Amino acid sequence: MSQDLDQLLRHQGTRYHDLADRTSGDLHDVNTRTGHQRRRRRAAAGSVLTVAVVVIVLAVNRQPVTSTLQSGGTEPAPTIEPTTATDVATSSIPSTTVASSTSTVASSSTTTPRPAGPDIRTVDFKNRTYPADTCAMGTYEAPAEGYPLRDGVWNGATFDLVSIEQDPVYGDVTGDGREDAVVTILCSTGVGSSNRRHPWVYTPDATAPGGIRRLTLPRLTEGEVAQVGLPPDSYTRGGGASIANGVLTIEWTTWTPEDTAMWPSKFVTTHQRWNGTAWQTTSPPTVRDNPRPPGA
Amino acid sequence: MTTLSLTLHRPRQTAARRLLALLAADGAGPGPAATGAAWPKPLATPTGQAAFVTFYEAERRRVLAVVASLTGDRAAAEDIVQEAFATALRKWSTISRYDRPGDWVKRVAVNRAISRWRRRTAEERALRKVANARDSLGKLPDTEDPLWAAVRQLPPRQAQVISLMFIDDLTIERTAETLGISSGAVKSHLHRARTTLATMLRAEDDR
Repeated sequence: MSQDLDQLLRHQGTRYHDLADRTSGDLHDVNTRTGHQRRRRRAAAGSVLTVAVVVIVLAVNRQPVTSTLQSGGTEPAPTIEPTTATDVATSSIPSTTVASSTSTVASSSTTTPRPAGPDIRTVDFKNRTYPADTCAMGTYEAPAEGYPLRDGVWNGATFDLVSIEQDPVYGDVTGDGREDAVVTILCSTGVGSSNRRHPWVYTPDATAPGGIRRLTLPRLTEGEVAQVGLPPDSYTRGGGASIANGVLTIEWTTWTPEDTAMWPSKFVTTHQRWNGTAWQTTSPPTVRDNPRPPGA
Repeated sequence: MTTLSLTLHRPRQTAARRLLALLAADGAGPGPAATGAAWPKPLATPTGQAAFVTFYEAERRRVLAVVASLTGDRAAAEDIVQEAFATALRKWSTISRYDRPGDWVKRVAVNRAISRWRRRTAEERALRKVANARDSLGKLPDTEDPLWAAVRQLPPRQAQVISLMFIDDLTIERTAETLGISSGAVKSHLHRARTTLATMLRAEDDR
């Protein structure tokens, strides 16, 4: 009986070898497999539509391609302005190595006072082209032309995915009496734990393309990590944002060196306000545990 | 960072290279940061990176087969295996010095597989209880594979022993090394597992 059982285990176990042989070893289909496939199909359909719209608009208006992506097929959705050299330099540095927020250098494109732009709530953030440095902390093979999101999604040629999963958060963090928007952009390379959430802040500015301008990316700094008592080599992959009383609050999902990739053990919360040139901390950061459930 | 990116930047990278590139971009753990911090020594050169890629490609399929037998779920298995290799990459300075780095990855993966399976089973049970509707949750992935479904119901160590010995064809000694337990313990787990499975099979036949 024992030998029969052994043979049966080996025989029926071959299906798992077959399964392993059938998989390519690529990292595209972890966790978000179904979503990727669905979004890829949707993106393919969207691309065809986009090309058609571009051809028509070029024929009629002779405008540059980058400015003709449509918002919902009706409203022009301009490309978000390219970032300045300062922006690029800052965004190439991982979060834990950026200098303290008070020393963050502002984008040279930010001026005060500036002409009022449109009501930012009218901006369709899910149908815009975002610059190539949008996924500042994560994805690679970024297209030079940026990420043209359609319905909040962009799929890369390989497995990269950029998307906006939640509606923007609104509030006045620049202190000019007009609402700004925090657009949390998810960047993924297709690996289960590789997702990053970038809380980009946009402010109305009539002088900017599309009437809105992007501020420098808020960061969880080394100083803030130390302030809450975490080891210096803790790191974050971004976080969720909210605005209240003119203060931008971001809860950063944070990994300490002891954490597994699957389970970050801390949330660090920062509070910042835009002073016209840089993000300034308004109150000390706080930290809370992310309790690991049994079996996780 | 720049050198590394250029080295790894290809239109379609292998999974191992994507893991390397991901950690390069990430600065996660002891891996290189975008600031130019050094890679762990074994990965600092293209040769070292190629060695990891070779290791990954040589080991991945066997680890995946074992983990899939323990989870009964291909997607979960791929996830677990990738996480295990990512962990190996972060600790490559140490692991690359082992006689059998693959055994280390396998141990990490099978332990995670058991955790994942237990959690999933518990979730399924809880959902059924709440929904009081078995069919609404869809079939468990085991219906077409009752024998290995039974293996997955065994105590974790027994399931791991069965999987390593019958999927990966390891000897008792190698199974013991992989799991970090004694050969005697492996024999004991094997005996109990066989007894349980034989009982299950007889009960199945009697129906």
